[in-house]
Amino acid sequence: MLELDRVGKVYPNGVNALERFSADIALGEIVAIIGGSGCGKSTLLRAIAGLDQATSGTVSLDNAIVRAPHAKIGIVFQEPRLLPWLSVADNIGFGLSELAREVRSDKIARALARVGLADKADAWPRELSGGQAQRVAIARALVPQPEVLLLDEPFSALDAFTRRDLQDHLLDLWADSRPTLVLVTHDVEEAVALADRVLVMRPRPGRLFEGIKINLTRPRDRNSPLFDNFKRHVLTSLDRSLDRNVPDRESEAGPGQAMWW
Amino acid sequence: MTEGLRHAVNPVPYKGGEDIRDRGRPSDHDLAIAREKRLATTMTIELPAIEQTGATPQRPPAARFARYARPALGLVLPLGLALGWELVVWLGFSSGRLVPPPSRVMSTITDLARSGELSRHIIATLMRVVLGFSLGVLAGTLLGAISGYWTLARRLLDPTVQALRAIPSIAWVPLFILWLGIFETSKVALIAAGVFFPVYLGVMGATLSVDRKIVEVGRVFRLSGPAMIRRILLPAVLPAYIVALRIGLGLGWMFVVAAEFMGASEGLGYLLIDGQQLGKPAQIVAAIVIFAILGKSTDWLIEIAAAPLLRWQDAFGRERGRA
Repeated sequence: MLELDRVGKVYPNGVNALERFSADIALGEIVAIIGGSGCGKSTLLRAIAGLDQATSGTVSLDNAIVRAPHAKIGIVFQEPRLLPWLSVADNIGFGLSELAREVRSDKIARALARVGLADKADAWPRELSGGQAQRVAIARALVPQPEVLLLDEPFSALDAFTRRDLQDHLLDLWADSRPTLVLVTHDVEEAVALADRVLVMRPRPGRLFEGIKINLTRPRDRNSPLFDNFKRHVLTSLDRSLDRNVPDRESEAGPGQAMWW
Repeated sequence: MTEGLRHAVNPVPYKGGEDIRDRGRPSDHDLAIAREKRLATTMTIELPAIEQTGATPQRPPAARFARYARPALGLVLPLGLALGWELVVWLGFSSGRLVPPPSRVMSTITDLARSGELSRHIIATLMRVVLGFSLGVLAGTLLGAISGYWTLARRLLDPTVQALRAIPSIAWVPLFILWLGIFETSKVALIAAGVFFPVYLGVMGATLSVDRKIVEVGRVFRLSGPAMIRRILLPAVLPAYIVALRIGLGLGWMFVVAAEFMGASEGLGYLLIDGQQLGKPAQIVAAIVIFAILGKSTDWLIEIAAAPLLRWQDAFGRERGRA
């Protein structure tokens, strides 16, 4: 269980990036965080990852407070961030250096096959296309079997077709070990296609605006009217989140209290 | 003409195993358009295959030509000048006394080599460069790494080093002679001082400019300090370090001449001074030629030694060389 309790972040220059963000995320749940630019969604993700400290509130995983990068929390960034001097296989095995060699190479081989890049084991990262590189980045994050995988706009740099391909692929990989996924995105369709729950944020300061449960079975048909309904719901919520005259739903509920779901 | 050939041989930079779906242009989410696009990509992929079969018979001669013609092109100018001058002297238009023709330079070199003088001078100079270069690289790497990695040390150390760098290294010569005597120590010290600065700057600059995003990957995988240095910082710094070493080596060769000008009984710099004082221009040119050969081959040694470590780089120059 990943618990975010009134997480806030004020940067040293005084910018209030994130304020009182609370959410409980169950193991195996897929949560998409969506919002306009500057709404603090990446700040939130970096706080969960332990890369940046929250200035108020706590992030805890299984009742232990997360202050620094955690063995059970993996992250995939917007860019693949592969190490250019390591082969694709060694990039995937980057987090496995403590393991014995045979165990390690066995895990790498399986992960490579799983993301469909078995023939690229010895290639350099520069030889991969954008979609392939991001698949390697996802494999690298998943191979140490994290409990929580954070994804910071992982597909936003890819073209529409590759993006959809990787979204489906991510669900496949998720089904293997069912970690918690926290996905930051600005793509409404991506959020509705992947998530069990969409958290809409409003900007300046970044706050939780509304949580929307996506009651659709998987695999989801993107052309179904039900899917469209959820898309419209999230879009409306996003529009209203940018309207300063609409009060936060979260603030009505009071700080730190349970959401309506 | 070569430009045209290259296009015929390699019309589209087609990567073999690339996922077709990765090559698409951005489009809306409409499936019909996606289908159309897939059709379009297949067509562009077939295109090079057709042209390639047409160009195949031309490929081997073109490749062979390119392989030898390009380096040979660089030799045209110096060889032409040398031959021209040889011809001018041979025809009697000039005595070639102050500007010796290549044949006279060659005979000077062979004379020196036969008497054993040449190897003595070369070994003396090489020893100085190797010693000075090693010391300079050692100090430059150590201090550069400390300054790059540790902010406090940089604040403390860097202003002083930068101030010292502003002094032309030759200006140290009188002081080095007073402190270290006129023999080997002061010469090695001067070379080391010359090598130190580019290496220091290169290592510090490279360490400071390591991509924060890559370092973050190390943090996500909870690397300890030493592991972060070994697995992230060192490989990231390596390309710039090799460049710094090569610049340092170039300066080392420059300063060995200066060092040998300040009084030496052997070495290539001594051959230069000796040639000037006794009026032997052929000996001067011979020493210069040997400097060029030694400098180029030591630089090449660094390049060769570093090549396997830098295979991962996607260099602009290499891409052009391959084409």
